Amino acid sequence: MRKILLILASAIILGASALNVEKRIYEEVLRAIFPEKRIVKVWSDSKNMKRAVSTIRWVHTVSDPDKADILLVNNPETLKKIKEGKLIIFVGSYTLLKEHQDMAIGGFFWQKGRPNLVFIKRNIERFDIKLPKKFEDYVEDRV
Amino acid sequence: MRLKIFLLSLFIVVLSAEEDIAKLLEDYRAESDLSKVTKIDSAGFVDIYTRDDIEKMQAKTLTDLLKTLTVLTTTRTAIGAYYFSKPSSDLIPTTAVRIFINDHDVTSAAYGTVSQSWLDMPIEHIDHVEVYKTASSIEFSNEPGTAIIRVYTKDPEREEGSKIRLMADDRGSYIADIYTGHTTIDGLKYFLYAHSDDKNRKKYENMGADLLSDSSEKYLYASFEKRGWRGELSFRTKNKDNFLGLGRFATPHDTDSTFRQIYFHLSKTFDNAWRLQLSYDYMKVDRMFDDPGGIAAGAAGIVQYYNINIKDSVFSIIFDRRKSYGRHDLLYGGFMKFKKMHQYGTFDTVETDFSVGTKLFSVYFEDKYNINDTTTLIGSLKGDVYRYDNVKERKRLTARVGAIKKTGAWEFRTFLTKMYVPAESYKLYNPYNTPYISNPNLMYPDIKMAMFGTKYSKNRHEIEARASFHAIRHPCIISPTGVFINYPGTVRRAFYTLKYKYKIDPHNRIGIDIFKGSNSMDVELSPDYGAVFQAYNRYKNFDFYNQLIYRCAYDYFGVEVDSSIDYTAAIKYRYSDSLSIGIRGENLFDEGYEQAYRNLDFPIPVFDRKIWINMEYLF
Repeated sequence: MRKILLILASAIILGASALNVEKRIYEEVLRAIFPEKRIVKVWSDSKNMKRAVSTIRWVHTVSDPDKADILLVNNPETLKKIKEGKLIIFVGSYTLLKEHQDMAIGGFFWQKGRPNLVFIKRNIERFDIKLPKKFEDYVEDRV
Repeated sequence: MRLKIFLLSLFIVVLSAEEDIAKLLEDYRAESDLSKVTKIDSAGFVDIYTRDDIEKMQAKTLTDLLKTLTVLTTTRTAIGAYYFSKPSSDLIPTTAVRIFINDHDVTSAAYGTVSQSWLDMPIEHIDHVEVYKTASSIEFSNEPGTAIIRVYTKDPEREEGSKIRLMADDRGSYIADIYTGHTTIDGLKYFLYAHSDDKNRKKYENMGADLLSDSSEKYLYASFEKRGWRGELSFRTKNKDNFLGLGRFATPHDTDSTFRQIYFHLSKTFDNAWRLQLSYDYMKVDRMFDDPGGIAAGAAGIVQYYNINIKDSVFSIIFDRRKSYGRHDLLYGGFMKFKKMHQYGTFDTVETDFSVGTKLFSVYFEDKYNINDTTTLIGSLKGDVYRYDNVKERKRLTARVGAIKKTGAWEFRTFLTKMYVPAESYKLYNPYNTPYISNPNLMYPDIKMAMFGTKYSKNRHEIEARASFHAIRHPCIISPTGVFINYPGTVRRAFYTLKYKYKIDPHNRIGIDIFKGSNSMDVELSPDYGAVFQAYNRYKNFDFYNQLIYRCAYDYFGVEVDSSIDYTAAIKYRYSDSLSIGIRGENLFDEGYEQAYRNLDFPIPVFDRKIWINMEYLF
């Protein structure tokens, strides 16, 4: 059980470098989605995701999802309450993306023992998001 | 021309940018390694095999990893089980080594631990392995052990998929593994694993008798987790030849062993940080030996046919809490274990049938006092009461104090431990005194240990020096008449290790470990010094692993054993994210470590020279 607790708390305990790399990944993702915005407003239901983005200088975390430019979601309950198609949603688990791939634009999660980054093509097109070329390999039709 | 230069520059920029995301993900994988979460720095000298290490090594069993340890030398016992000796000394007591699969101590009522049966466990379902040396096990809320092997299964949340691995070797062996891990939308996490193997090993001969050590195994493991409750279920059955067997002259005619163990483990950590663990182990061992040269079987005398059956069960309840108060990180709690062993056997015409029950009660307390960000003092205390059905009660205390200091690139640690090694139940009580002559008055040997370590890490370099000193009072031995007795004096041992690691990047590193050991008995029953070199590398889609293990010559009761060099190498080609193929060559020079035995006038290699091919498919 300790292992599980420890894993749940991993983001807290993990060395600063893991958190730093996670922050850099979100920095790349958010900049790719919002290339023009000087300030990106982020709402999240996950402490870990919030912690990873909160140190990005040009990201502001907000407590009201309606005021956010993007929602970082890790809890299935959150998605049940959200009206489809209105908000840009980026998820933190494979299961969540698979289940809500009609709604979320993508996700950053573990799969097959590796961290993975996926954007769902039709959803980024729906929000007219033009990703930089370096993300080309990470765009998929479905997961 | 300018256009060409521009296009070339653009191409380079695009290429490097594309690499950035892949590199970031790779860096994240390396930095998020679960061993960084589970490792307990204060528990002893720890050696870690990460998931990436295990994958590059193309390791099949836990032994493939443990054979690269220094100070603990992996060897093969007379009945073909893997176990450890320490530099210059013979095999260490079976109860000194404990194996945990996640938080579950795979245990047995008869033997105290079943580490000998689990040291060669399959590891395709394993994420990483931690080996704690000079430990006390208070940190692990369990029974005492000086060497603790913690094996962590893969996390279903990180898997989200399935994998098949097939391996075959040049002796006609095969290994097949399959696992799947997933998290459902309603939060149920599960991991399922199945393993099957059939392994053929080189046959040796002694006075016309075949010394065989082939084996076959089936293993199932499952874990489930929801709302903080975690359940684990494991079933393992292994059938093997008994190698030399137990005969006086190692002339086995027919030998066979079957080992079965099933366990379940249920745990939950409550909101107030109290943790409850319930577990049940059931083990069945059936060992049959037939040796015309005769086998010593205690009161039954010298027999030719020796068949021993053990059925045992252990039920454990552990209740403890980790809580921080200001600068104090506390661990306190207790556990109860109810053990029952039933042993029956046939030794030529003598038949035995008896049971032994043990109740173990423990309470423990540990305080890690963080004086500041760089200095920690640690103190721990544990009291154990062993209540046996048939022999007198034993009460023992374990105490440990230590300090860890980090300053700049340096880290220092020192621990003093006073503990004991419990005697196995079968040594304490046997109404037939067959096949062992038990001793109800056998004392638990006391161990005092002092350890000192320092590590210097800067940029890509890491240098670590370790020293540990052990004093074992009244170790358990077998008398010339075959009775388990306590040696009347104290045996002292000292071990030194120097480690150097050069980390080029997350996928490329080299390391060398040099060790030296000594004992106060003026004997040299295993290599007293040696070195292990390892290189983990990646180039494009290829993973490389190289390992060179040197151990010096030694003399085992008159049998001279040459120095050894075990060169093992593995190459893996990652054809895609899903498919990889590999080849692993073990002990390629066929000059690997050899073990000598009391009843044999020549040593036998612990590991064969083998070539394995490997195919892995993720889906």
